[in-house]
Amino acid sequence: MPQIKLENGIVSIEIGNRLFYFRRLTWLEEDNISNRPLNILSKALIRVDTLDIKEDSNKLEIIKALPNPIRERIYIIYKSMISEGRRSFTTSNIWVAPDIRTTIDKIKLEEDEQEEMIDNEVDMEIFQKSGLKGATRIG
Amino acid sequence: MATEGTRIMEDINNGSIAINKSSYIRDFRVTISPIFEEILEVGARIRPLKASNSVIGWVRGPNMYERRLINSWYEDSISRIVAIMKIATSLDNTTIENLDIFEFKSLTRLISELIRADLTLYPYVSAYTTTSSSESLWAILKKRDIVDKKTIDMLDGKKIDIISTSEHTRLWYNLCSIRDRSKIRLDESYNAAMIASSMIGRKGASTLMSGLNKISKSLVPNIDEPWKEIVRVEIDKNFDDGWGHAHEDDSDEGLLREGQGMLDFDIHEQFMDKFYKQQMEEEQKRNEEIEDKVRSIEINSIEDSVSIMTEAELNRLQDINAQRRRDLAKRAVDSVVENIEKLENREQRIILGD
Repeated sequence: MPQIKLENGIVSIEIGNRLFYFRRLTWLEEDNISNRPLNILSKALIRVDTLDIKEDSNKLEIIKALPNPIRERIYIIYKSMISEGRRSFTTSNIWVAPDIRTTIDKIKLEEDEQEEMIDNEVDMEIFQKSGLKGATRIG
Repeated sequence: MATEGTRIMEDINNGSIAINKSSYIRDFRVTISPIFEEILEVGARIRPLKASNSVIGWVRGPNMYERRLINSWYEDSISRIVAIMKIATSLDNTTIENLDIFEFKSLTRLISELIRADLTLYPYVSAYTTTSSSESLWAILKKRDIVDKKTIDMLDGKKIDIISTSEHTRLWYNLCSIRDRSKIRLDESYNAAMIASSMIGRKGASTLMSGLNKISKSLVPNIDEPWKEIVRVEIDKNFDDGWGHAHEDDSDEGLLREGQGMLDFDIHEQFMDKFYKQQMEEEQKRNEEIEDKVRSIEINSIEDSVSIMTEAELNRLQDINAQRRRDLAKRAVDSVVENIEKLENREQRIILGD
């Protein structure tokens, strides 16, 4: 089982008895990267064992030398390891106004209910005075 | 002599009969007023920015004018994004630039949610203008310059920059100015009506006075009517999506657009073509099954009974069988064609709006 570690935002992966160290990339560095496994890993590579790799061309050469299936697996491991400790942003107490149609419908519903209630009251009063039932519904 | 009905109308007009106020509107007004007060007084709805449930700063939704300004200030999208994040949060440049891609996406999603939340309030600005909360705020804010830039100092020492006044504030300011002018004009008209009534008599000036009373009532704070007349926004339907919309838009332009869509073999045409092919294939398959069945019956019948025929009889029998097969195939194809014709007719009727 190869050794895989995440320490201080740096992922170390053991490949063929050597430890490869990859750092976390920023969104600006990851923006518009094509051929992701190759270019992301070469950008993220900082050290192999105790040897610091500084030149971009050297980093690319090292990653290119890895066979494709191994490179893909390293990429998956790197991505899953680096996601640990990642922050997701939220907030609280943000009120969203209801849709205009919902508001209008609720006001209309309340108005209809009130009208119905008033009609019933007037009906009752007319019935008590004249004996005519349902007078407000006529017409 | 006044009838019962006219008496009630007069009472309502004088204000001696109170019409039931909507409890929904009252509750809504109570909820929305402090939110507008915050937007108008502070300039934005600033909320805590939490990362994995711990507060690391402050966040707000940049308003439309700020976004427009940033779009004209910066040419490339990266600079625009950084500028938006800078004004939307209290995070410094280094923190923004050091976010990883997932954190970046999470923050942009949060900012766009806040922008959307602020936009949901916009249709209610005009109704809010008629509330007592707005009136008292107007008394303070009308003397201030609303288009100034400002920096909000939060209590933890962090800062939030606002580079332009929000669309809510601008609309509110304009509506309050109009309301103010209406009140002044109403006062002047009352004075004029009083002078007129001394000359033409109270009865003569009563129409004018009742008109002014009506206007005066519409300017009373916290009335329900403006909430019932919230601006409705009708979103234009996109008819250029490649589908048939002749039954929804039967104007000349609509029919021309549909015609052009047919000639350009649009999605609707492609769909109909695929449907046509599918139907044909299904019918052919069914036809083949029928033929197989016929063939199997023929084979069975040969197995069941053996009769010796002359060559002429055999030829005639083969001709009959071939004719039967052709008839069956023709019937199957005819039924497909008939189905397709029916479909086309239906489509034609829809396009013509029958």
